[in-house]
Amino acid sequence: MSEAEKTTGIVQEENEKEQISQSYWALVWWKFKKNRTAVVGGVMLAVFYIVCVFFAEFFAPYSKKLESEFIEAHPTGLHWRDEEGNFSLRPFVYGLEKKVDTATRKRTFEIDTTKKYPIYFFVKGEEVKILGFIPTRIHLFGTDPDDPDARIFIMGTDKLGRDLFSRILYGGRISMFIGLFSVVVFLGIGVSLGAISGYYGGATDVVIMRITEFLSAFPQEPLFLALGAAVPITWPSAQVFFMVTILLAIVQWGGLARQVRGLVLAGREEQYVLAAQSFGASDRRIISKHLIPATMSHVIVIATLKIPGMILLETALSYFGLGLVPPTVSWGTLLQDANNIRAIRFAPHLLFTVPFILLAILSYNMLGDGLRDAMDPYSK
Amino acid sequence: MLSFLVRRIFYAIIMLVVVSFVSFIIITLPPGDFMTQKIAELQARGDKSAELRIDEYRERYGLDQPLMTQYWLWASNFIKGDFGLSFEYDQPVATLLKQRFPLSVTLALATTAFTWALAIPIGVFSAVKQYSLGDQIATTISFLGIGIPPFLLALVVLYVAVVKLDQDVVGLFSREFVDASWSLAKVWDLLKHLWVPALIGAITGTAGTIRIMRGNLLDTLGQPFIEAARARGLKNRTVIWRHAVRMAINPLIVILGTETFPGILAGNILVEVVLSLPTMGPLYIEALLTQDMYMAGTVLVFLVMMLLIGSVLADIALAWVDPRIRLE
Repeated sequence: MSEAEKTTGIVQEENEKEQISQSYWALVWWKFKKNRTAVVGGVMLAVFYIVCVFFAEFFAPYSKKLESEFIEAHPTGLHWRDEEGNFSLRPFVYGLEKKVDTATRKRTFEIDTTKKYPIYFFVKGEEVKILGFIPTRIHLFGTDPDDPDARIFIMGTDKLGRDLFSRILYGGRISMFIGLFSVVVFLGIGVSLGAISGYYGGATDVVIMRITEFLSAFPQEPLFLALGAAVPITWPSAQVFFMVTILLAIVQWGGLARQVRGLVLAGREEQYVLAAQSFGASDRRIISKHLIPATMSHVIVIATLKIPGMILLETALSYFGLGLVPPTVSWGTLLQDANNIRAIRFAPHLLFTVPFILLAILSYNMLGDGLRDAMDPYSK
Repeated sequence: MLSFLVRRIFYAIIMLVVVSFVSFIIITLPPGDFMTQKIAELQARGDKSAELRIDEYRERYGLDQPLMTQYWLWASNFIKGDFGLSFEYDQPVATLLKQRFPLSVTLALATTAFTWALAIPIGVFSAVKQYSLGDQIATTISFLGIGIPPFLLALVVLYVAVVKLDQDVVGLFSREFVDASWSLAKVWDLLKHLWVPALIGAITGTAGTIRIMRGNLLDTLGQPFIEAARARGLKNRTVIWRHAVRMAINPLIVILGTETFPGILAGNILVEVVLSLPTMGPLYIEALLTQDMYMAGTVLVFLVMMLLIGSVLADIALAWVDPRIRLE
């Protein structure tokens, strides 16, 4: 074998290798990686899920129930430099001091700059169970556990003296989970009905499409609010939670079903479906193994972009008192405390929930938008 | 055209009947609604006039009748303009809505006006100066704007106004005008309050509309007739506004009727509650919370009606604006 032949052989081999490794999903991943906004969105979501959904117990300094005597205390903040200008690498919080406003006869808690409590990491505190079954006393950060006066409320407390930051993390668990869970239900209904409608056509198609048209005749938010109000208030919180997630899916599946129907309608005419049919594959097999997977890239994008809307609807529903109710902690029920002018004037820190919600929604939108571009890797 | 319209309207009416029936079921679904409470209250009083009232309700709303009959009574009264009684306010729903519905529509119109006034120029600019710095800024802002929910924005605005600026943004009228009869001064006062909620409601819509306008105009600008117009030596401004924008705006007219206006009317409900405006929103939420069923049902059907009327109007408007469209 001559030198030249050897080289071409190697080159060919390399080419083949490259071609083998470039599967559709590899291309998608490759394109996705290059989109910085989308990656940032994905990373932020990963942080949200780790901090809120999985390990809220560890990251929150207190449990969601612990009530302190500090009612609606303002945020203690984090400081590195004290009043005299002394700098310490270890951040600290100031203590809280009870004051009575003589004009309004209201107790308020003001920051007392004479008392300083340094912050420690991996402190021993309240015993909590991570994900409900791994017991631990270790929290990511907190004040000296041996000092009973030391407290850390970096985002203030609510009307029962509970630490707002901890509650926002626990609330994120429910809100983020509702978003994810209702999207699963939404996909289940939308994809299966859309695929059936597109594959069978005829009367089935007409009925399903009429239902989606009927759903789109309703304005979404008011319909969802009305359905939320129809959930009996006497139900236990877990049941209400499942009802809300299912309602979210029921209100919204129409649009997805229409899109899947369109894709299946086109896919039905493809030769691989004909091939499968001639092998005697059942309808169920053709739909679930051939047609639905072909719509997946489309469906994943729709689902990702749908989640923020789901989170927001739940927040709105609970905020207006029609969805989840305390003691369930979600971002919506947390905002309920801030639904009047008095609360906003005297305890504006209760609105700290808002930036968390906005950040979660923004992350989903960034990720979804990047996925939309990446799912079509052959386009420029 | 006429046969299309007749068919379109006929279809809308059927839809309205089905939707109103489902609304009725949703609203009557939960146990312990206001009417049951009211009747229990009257029964507890037990005197002659209370029993007369119970009988009156029973007959008027067909309470001991099957669901279909109840719906039929409600629907036939609805057409006559009698929407039932709000048990919470002890007033006819029609009276309460008469004050609030026009204000809701005014707010929605103002929001729509803001949306278009902001989105069309920005969208046109973005398309004409594609990939310029201005386009990129507009794209980023609209990208962020789509994600901002109006009711959370309303909360933030409330916070800034109350805590930082010590301003009053709640309501649509200053105190001295709340009960005053309509006058020029009151209209002026309304306008001074209206822009805040209108702007809040316009954020999401504006962001989306910029994207649509930009995309459409980019498509249109690439077409031969634009080149022909330029070749005839027309001024750039004439080419863009008279030729390109006129074409590119058609999809916006469709969504104005089917999505924008009805969507804003429905979406503003949440903003209206946060800012406690004297509009339909707070009435609706309150009615849902207290199970004041005739009130809630009426508002829901009104919103659906706006959506259906909007889509019919959108079709007509499109046929009028774009002579190429044949409605067959």
